[in-house]
Amino acid sequence: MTDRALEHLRVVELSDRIAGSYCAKFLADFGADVVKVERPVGGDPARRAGPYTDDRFDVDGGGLYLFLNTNKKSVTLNADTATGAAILKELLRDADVLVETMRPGVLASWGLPPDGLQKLNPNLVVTSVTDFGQYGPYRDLHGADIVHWALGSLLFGTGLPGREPIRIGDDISEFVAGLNAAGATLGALYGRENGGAQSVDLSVLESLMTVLPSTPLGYSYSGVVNSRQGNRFPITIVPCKDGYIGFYTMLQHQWEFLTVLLEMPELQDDERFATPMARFQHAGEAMELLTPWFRDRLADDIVERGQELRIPIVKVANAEDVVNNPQFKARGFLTDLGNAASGAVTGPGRPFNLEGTPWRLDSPAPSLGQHNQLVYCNRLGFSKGELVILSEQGVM
Amino acid sequence: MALPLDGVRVTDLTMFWAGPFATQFLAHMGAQVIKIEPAGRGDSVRFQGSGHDDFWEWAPIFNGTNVNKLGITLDLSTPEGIALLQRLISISDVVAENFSTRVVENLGIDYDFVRRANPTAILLSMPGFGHGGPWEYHVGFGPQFEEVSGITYMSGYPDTVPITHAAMADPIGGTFAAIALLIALLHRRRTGRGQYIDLSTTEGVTSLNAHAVMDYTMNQRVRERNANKHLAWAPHGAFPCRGDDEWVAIAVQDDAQFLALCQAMESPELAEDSRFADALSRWENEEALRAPISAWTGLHTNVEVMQALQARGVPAGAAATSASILDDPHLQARDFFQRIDRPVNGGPHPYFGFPAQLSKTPIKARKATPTVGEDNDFVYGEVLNLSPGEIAGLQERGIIETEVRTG
Repeated sequence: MTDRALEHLRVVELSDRIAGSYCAKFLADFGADVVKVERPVGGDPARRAGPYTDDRFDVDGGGLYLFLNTNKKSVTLNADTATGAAILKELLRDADVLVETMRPGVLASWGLPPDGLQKLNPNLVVTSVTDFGQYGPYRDLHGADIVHWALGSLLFGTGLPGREPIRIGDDISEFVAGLNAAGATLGALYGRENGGAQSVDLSVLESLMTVLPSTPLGYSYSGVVNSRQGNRFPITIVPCKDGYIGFYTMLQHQWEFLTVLLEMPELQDDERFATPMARFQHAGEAMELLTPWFRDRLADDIVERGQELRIPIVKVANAEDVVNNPQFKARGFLTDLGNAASGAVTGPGRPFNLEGTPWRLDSPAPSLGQHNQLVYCNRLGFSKGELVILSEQGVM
Repeated sequence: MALPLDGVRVTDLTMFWAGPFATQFLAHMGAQVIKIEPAGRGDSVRFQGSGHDDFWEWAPIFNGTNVNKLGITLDLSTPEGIALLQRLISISDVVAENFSTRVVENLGIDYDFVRRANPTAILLSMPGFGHGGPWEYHVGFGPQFEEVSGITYMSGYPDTVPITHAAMADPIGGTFAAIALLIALLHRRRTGRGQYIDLSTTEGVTSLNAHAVMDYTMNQRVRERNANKHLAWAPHGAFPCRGDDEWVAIAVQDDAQFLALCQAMESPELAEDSRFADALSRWENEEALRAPISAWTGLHTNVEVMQALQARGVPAGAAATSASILDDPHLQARDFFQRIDRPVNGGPHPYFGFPAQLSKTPIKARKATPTVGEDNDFVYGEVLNLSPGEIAGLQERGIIETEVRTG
């Protein structure tokens, strides 16, 4: 059996949002021992986010929860109690990483301020994921995905002119923050040998801003403020017979091949479309000329011919297309993430292929408190009797 | 104290946005990233610059994605260029490229090539759709990767075609790549072994769509476009404020927040209206809430609405523009924008910082994005120990030419 890249690491996850769980998922998926600490009543809110098979709620069987918690162990703990906080401290004593998403100040209220954690365990990398970070005037404000889209200047620039600005996707800011948190955590782990462990203060707002194509920098260079322009020609989406086609003729040869695809050679000599800038300025006219060609053609036929011409062109996939995507199938990307509660459920699997230390699904997302005995008895030395008492007291 | 990745060297062959984003992540954390641009051309994304004779030095995506890197030029279509690349790889920990599979084959820069130059190197290869499979030779940019992920299809207004964000799949794929490289680096330091990383940006961004994908596999449900309507919360959306094209985002997550919204609006009748009594009723009757909320938000600036709602615990945010965000007091307090000089652009101008603050080693812009070939002398002279005469010879033969030919 191949080794796991991160099998030497112990991680404690204290997360009530996608960003924290997604961050810790990368560590778990590549071999780290991740103990997910959940509240005794209800557990991780992701358990209530669905989707559920046939829309029937099951605390252990929600799709988002299954996706975010592969290869982890679940224990329950109420850290608001003195006993609970003391047990959390024991878990952290020999851990390498704490991923936490409590509001700023909550850990300190449990007697675990960041500098105290450093004294408890100088090897501990503490990654805190919050909406706005641990300091600054917005620290205690209330975030939400669309609020980050707004504050981060993404919302204003997305959508059609004159209409309500929109966000893209469901919870992109949470996932992007989880990605950045994972990267920063791994970097801090690598840096432990360059001067010790440190804490990572990650802001969801700032993470989301990293997906902007440096538009504030562009404004500073040119004075041009961002605006809503739909799909921003030459980024193009047009309806076809059985869906939508997306293509992007950024480079000159791609535009020329597009005129070949559309069998409109006359466009190559048309001054309105001679350069990228000219095409951008005549985007409306270009769209009028292009759109009818697609209307009665099938997506697969268009994409096959377009890709032969090396045009960046695809079918705009809906969820059904994603599940049936032949490339995903050939590469084994989608996989069964189901556990005993859910039964088989196909979802996104391997995030990338590390050939030497491959992604593996050793265990699906755990049921609530599934590993209480393993962690509390085998690792921390509690007796089963003590577990029963602590459970009755609401600590776990 | 040294930065976390101090001592890590990256040979960076990536271009456009996704790959450079990955290597910039490592550069921010202290790695020495040597970015190689094609001699005579430069990174293709430089051509998005405009408004100046030297437009290739003015592309915001390029200049915002190559901070803290060294920049050199090299002609990889010549044996001499390939030999220099091998020498760089032999002293690097990581090699990164995001060529299409066709270009990898043409140049011969695959894992065997890298391993021959350096048996313990890590190679990141990230064509948009990954290696192998029926789409191995398909081409795409960030918008196409997002379109294949299923995210674009469900984004937009109910009455329009799907609407994308501006290629966010690229920086997302780049962050996946940074994670993959860091995992491989941690493994390499423990075991001494390098490895090959095959990364599909499309698969990465599709992971972010897990909820909708699994809703299909669990319920055969295909989610359609519905502007800002949330899966469970209401009211949820952007509302017009006083002024021209001014907006505020509001996300009401529970009954208490709805009550607080009604109080801020001084509209007790909404709080008592049975159509809005619980989360499901509000969700079903959300359209009827838009007019009264918009009437109220329209009386105030977006910052006033944000402050009034946040004071009552309701998530709300003023929609910043690419101009107004530079004055955001919170981002200023956290030094998110790194205002550095890049002489060719004048300045200082605001470059994005790192989204995490590290307690002992703050991550800052230490070096502005290189101009074409800016660090040729340092890298070929100090890192590869070539003599000034050898460097001049390479320049004369066009191997490390720094002119950009625009024809």
